[in-house]
Amino acid sequence: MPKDQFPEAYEPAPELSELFRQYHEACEPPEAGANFMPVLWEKIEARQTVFTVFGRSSKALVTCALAASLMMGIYVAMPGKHINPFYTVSYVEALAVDQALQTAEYSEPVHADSLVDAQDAEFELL
Amino acid sequence: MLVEFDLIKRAQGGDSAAFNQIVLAYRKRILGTIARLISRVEDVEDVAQEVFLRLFFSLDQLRSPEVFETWLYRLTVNAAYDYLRKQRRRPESRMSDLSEQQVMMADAAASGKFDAEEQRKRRVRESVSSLLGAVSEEDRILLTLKEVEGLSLKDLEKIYKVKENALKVRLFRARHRVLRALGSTSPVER
Repeated sequence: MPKDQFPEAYEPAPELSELFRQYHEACEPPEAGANFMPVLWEKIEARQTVFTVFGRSSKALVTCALAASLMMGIYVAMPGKHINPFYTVSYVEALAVDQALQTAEYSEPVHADSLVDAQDAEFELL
Repeated sequence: MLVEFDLIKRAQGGDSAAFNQIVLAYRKRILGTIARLISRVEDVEDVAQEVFLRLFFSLDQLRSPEVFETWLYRLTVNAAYDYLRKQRRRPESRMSDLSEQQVMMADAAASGKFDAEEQRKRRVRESVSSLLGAVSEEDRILLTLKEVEGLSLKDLEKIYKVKENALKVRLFRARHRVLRALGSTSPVER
């Protein structure tokens, strides 16, 4: 690792320290203008107004959202109001009807050989 | 502490007069720090007002008045950092962007009104300003607080909320970058 990677081993450059010291001397704190405090309070009041408007808007939005949620909840909870005219039966009922239709249409194929065999068997028994 | 804890508590309670007293007590110190951090005289007051504005709206978040000064320093550093970042986004300089002081100094220098000492100070300000302008805002602020403001590592630890060793590394790297920038520029006249 190179030497300059170790902060502990680093010695501050004297020319830099001297330059910063001179800079501190050269930068005298400026005197505050006569309008410093009035302008500061104007800025505070302006930002307070923004906060107030923003706060009120946020509250109004939250109230509207709550009201809309409540109305939707009531609408969903009301019986018979949300029935779709295309689907008047429940899913289970529709399945049962479909099953019944399928059963009614079911027919086994008739095999001539098996009928002949059955008749022969009856004759043998007799 | 330049103010009593009681005054801070009163300001926290919404006492405007108490807040005014706090501003008056710390105004000079904050103006000085900002002047050294941003080195643009006509914007110093604006940034200082932003610091006190932030103080006003966040004073109720201060849990213990003992850490008030560290906290105020942090607000100052953040406001200066935001200012420097905005400045960096618009680096082009026009004549109308020159500060009043710069124009005044240029005029005075041209007419020979300034004495040698004032000219030397101006050159130092310009040199350090351009030197610090060559590094990032973070490096600039950290170095100014440590080397120019003379804050201790303990103070910086509280302001930056980082460990002393981490600060040492950051300072070392910042100094290294400034030294490189110093090496690439012409030596300052002393």
